[in-house]
Amino acid sequence: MSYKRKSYSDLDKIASRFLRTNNQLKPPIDIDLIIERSGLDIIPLPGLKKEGQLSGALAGDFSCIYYDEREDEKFPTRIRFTLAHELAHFILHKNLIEDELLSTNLLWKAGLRKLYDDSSSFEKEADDLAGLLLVPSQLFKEFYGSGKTHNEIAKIFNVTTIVIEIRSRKEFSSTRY
Amino acid sequence: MTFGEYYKKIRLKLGLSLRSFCKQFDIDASNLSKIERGVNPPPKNPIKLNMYIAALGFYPGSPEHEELKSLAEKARGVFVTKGLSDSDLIKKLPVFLRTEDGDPLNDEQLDKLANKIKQAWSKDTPDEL
Repeated sequence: MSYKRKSYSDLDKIASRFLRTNNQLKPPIDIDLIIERSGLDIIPLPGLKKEGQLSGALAGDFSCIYYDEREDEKFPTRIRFTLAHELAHFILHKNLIEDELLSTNLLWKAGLRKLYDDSSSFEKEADDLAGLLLVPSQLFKEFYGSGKTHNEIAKIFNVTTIVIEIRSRKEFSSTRY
Repeated sequence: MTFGEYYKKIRLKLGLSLRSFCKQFDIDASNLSKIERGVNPPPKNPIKLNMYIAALGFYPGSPEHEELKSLAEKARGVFVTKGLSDSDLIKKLPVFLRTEDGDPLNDEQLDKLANKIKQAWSKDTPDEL
């Protein structure tokens, strides 16, 4: 499967449009509410992480996102990124899933293996869009410009400091990709 | 409209996501998610039912409280879980999986995952309700 990755500025535009449509204009972005109002259920699955370090997953019919309820108790901020990442797949990658993949258990497994082989591009893309949804460019620049530390900004946006560090690198790098 | 559908509609109208709502009111998110999806019936215990309705901000006598109570009563005894057929259940299996180490799941892990997903779409036993 050849997949043409979107540029970071394209993803930025997608995120801005999506947040505007959902009336999310100040931090912290209520990613859960956006997801549910987009018609997706958020379904808690206790112990999901036990199955191969899984933190979240998007259903094949794009009707729901599963997350680990126990992880949420320990690391609620991390779960927000997981949910945003799965929402990003919902926004960007619906057309990558062929109906056949969801016809039998065996085809599902085979389809997942095939998807995994090609996954680096669209997983990266989902990470980038998730970061832009949780920490939108315009708001980020405002807080960054006010001299706040990464840690302080992370608290304002209710994300981990790692998300802010990555957003900072992407936002202020000379070449955007 | 079922109890679960109406409950979710009001919750979202109030701007409350499932996770924040359940944390705020100490409600079991798994159970509420199943009630809203029509997998589990609404609470049978009147105290618990009132507590669920009060969490939305509706108290006895309000139209919403009465509507929710009436929908819960309607479900009592005639509740049919929205159990999924095997072909529908396969569509609920995940296609995008986020693992912390980035590694794919092996067959055994995928089987366990499929089983977990099946549980999320199956009615809880009476003891769990």
